Parts: sequence; C-alpha cells; structure tokens
Amino acid sequence: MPEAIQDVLAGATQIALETTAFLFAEPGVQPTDDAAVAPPPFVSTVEFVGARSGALRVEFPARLLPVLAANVLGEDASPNDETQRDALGELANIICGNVLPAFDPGGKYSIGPPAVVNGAPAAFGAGAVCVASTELQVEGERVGASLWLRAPGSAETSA
Amino acid sequence: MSPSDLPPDVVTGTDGAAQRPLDFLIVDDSAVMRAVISKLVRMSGLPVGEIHHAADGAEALAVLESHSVDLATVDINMAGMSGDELVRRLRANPATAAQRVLIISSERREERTREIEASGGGFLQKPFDAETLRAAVLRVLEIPDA
Repeated sequence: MPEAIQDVLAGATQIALETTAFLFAEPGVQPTDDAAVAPPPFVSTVEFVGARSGALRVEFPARLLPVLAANVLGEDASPNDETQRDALGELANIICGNVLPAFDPGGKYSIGPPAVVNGAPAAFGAGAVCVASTELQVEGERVGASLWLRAPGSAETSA
Repeated sequence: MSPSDLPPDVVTGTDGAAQRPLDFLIVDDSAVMRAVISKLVRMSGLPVGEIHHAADGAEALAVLESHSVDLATVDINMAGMSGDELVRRLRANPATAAQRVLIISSERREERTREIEASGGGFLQKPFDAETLRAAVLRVLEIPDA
C-alpha cells in the first residue's frame, strides 16, 4: 500500500473532521471494553469516475454521529437522522475531493453523491482494490477511511 | 468586470470595508452544506443582509429572477442542474452575466480554477473556515479587507 497515499488519506480525514466538525482525531485506535457491543457504524461511500474510478469510504461510529452533525451545523441540539446522514456524506465528499488530486494531480474526476448506510455496506466488486486505509480515534471511538480503486473494465460497485 | 460594476455603496467606504449588508445566494444540494456556509458567512465578520438558499441550479435561477444578490456561492456537483451549467446560464443571460460567483467544491482542479477566476469568479475548496471564506468573498467582490 503506497505510504504517501495512506498519509494523504489520514491527513485529509483529520483536517476534514477538525475543520468541519471541530472533532480532533488521533492516529490509531485504542481497544475499548465495549467495542464488541458498540452499535454498528454508519458507512458513507462516495464513488468517483475519471482518470481512475473507485470509491472513498468512511466508517463512523453511530454513537458519535449526532455529535458530528451538531458540530458541523454549530447547533446544541442533536439534528434529525437525515441531517446526521447528510453530514457524514459531506465528510466523505470532502475527504475524497482532497485525496484524489494528491493521488493523481493531473487527473480529472467526477465525484458522485454520497451513499450512507448503517451497518455493513454492499461489497465492492472483485476488481476493486483498497489502495489506502486509515484508522483514527475520535473521542474514544474508531473512525475509518479507505480509498478503493477499480481495475479498468471491472464491474461497477454497488455500495 | 471591475469594481465600478458593483453598487457604489459596497466599495466606497473610507476604511475600505463593505458599507452595507451583503446579500448572498447559497446553492448546494446538501442541506447541511447550505447550513454550514450560512453559518460561516455569519461568522465571517462581513456585513450580512439576506441569505437565500437553493438546492440546485434551476432553483438558483428562480431565486435570482426575483432577488438580487451580491454573491452566489455555487457547489459544482449537484443533482439536477450542476454548478457548471448554472454558471454557464448566468453568463449567457445579460441580466445575470455580471453576477459574482464563488464556486465551492471539495475537489480543486487548477485548470478549472483558472477558468473560473478568468471569468470573474472565485474558487474555494472544502473544508474551509470563516476567515478563509471571508477572504474569498472579498476577493471575488473586489473589496479591500478592512
């Protein structure tokens, strides 16, 4: 896995969390006692086409999603479910937009709308390869981000 | 487009700052991003008047038919009419050709950014804070910062 892309992905995720939601992320994840019983995370996927095609996926803890949305909006009250999902979708969109130019400076891309699910998202097709991933700790919870590239001619994903 | 194209009360303050509230149109298909940009506009320290919202290009054109705004912030990737198409239509219509536009996108493309700036617009890459937004707005409106 190219270390430079890994660093770009981690940096873009940290900056997006900090700038948009005032959430500060530390590299790595500390094991917690209740990790096994934590509710399934929300997963936001944005697909892109262009010089390369693929997707960027963000896994975000369910317990922290209301905090993300409230911080993004600057509100004290917890936003509704749709707004929470919208906030996570925007986070993935921002990370993707910041990672792609570093991965391929001259490449032109079109980034699709985010798809947010609670729990395991649909698997990528066999031709998709994870080229970078990162795990961060935010307020004691795990946030993951991964960049997937699809081999030319491979099947579309159904995330 | 030059500073003389702007309403005089926007640019003629002796301290160089904007002298009357600026009206905005925020065009983004994400309700969260519209709320975020509104919040940052209000946090920017700029004099803010009305802030209108539109969820896509077609809605933005409808708003501009009935409201005049100093600046439209425009997302690129939107369902329905995209930001690119919206800007093309604004420039093609004499009534809106001079509309100041700030493109806001998560993806920065140097070539595209140069095109936008050459047509009198500005570009701002997400994520950004209120201070960065303020600088971009003032740059597009050609207002010196106080």
